[in-house]
Amino acid sequence: MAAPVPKEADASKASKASNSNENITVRPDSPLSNGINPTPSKVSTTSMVGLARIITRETEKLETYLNESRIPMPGFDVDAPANFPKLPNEMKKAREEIVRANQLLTDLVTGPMEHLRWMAWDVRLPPLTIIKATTHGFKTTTTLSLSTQSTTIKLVPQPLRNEASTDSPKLNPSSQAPQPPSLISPPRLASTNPTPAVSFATQ
Amino acid sequence: MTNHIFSEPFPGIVAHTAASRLLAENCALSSWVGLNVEDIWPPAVKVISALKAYPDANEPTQTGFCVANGTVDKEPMFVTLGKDVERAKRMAEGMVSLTGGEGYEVSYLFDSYPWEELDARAGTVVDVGGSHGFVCVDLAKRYPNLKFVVQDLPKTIASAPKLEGKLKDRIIFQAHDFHTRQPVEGADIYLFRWIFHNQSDKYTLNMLRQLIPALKKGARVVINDHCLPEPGTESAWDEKIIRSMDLVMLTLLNAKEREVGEFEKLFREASEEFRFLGVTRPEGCRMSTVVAEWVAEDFGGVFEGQG
Repeated sequence: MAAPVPKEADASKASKASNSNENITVRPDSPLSNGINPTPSKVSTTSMVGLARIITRETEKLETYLNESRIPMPGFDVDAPANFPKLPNEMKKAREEIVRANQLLTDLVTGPMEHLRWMAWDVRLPPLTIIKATTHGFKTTTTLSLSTQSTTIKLVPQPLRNEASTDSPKLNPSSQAPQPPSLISPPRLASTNPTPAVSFATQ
Repeated sequence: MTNHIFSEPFPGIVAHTAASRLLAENCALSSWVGLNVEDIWPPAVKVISALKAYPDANEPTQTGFCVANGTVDKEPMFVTLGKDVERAKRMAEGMVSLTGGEGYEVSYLFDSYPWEELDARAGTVVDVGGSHGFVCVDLAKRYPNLKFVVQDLPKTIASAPKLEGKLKDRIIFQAHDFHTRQPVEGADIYLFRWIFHNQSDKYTLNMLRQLIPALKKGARVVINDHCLPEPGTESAWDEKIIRSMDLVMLTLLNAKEREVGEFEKLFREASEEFRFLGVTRPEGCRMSTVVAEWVAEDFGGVFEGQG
């Protein structure tokens, strides 16, 4: 890959260099309107591609290190390592930078409105792997909160799903539209929660 | 500030960001956030207690919401919120903010059912739990021969804005509680939009059975709601939203979103005489349209209404 990294593509430096006031709206009643010249927030002038390059660069750094040190790659298979081993400072920084740039890029492409809307449900991209990590750690048997919602579903073992689908009902073809077979879905997945009601056992 | 809500351009000076500005200026979004943070989060952490105490999870008075609000076995969420003007208003605005968004437009309903055919024979649609009839107004504007009955609770019907001109003659409002026997006999379609996901299986079954004495042969039940996709078949983004909605329904009402198989099972359990026709979902739409047809002779005959 060895992506060219023009001038380190450091987005935060770039934004400081191109200061302008156009991104901040100051209300007449705001203290900011009183002689203080606000600096625009970094976020609004950060380049998305710049962030993507940071992610690529730092991820390459980290993966090369893990390979050379014969450290297993991170994963979420059931027997994957639970944590990173103790890393040298540079690699710690690489990890932090990947997470930071990744999150910021996510927030930017989500946009303020949807960022706020789904933060209330903790529905954020890219969600699945990060959330899965949480469930592996806590098993999700004790608390069901909005922040761990879809996680229980992800923990249902594959064989259970296949068994369940064998008694799936067949659909009569609808008169108005062809029904792709994928519409025949298995019964609601059981969650790992011990209480049966989550799977809505029928009366 | 780490979530981009407010920033600190200088030490001690707090400034708006685009996100905090939205909270200050956009009432619908601010209601949505307030509704979630104050009326949904506290109940969410009580869901496990509620499920342990009432594992059937069928009663809207035995929810996490009821545990959190001290209303177990006393009243369902809508009654509790209804007693507090501010909370009720926030709930209404918050839901509008969600369902008024992309993927929930009424226009998708046009593509989800062969309305033209029904329009050609000047059919009748009963919009059960249709609120102020805004779905019927949209359908009526597009299909000039359709007739409509909008049913909801007396309070809702009483507050519906008066319609003008021709629409007034084609859209009738009627007070009706869908847990009781359906008063409009012989309509072509009984439409339920955003209704089934508010009800547990126990109550949805009753809703369907209360229809039976009114159904003529060939009458259709059309449900417009989320339909849970098979895991992993949806974009990660949409799947999280739809499944999150499922858990919110559990938290607030012991209700749920359903998979295709669950819808089919409901109809089968309500009566062997419902023929399940399947589910459609237009591209870009988060909601699905579930259709079943009454295949027995007119007005069932055998059902003894409980209402």
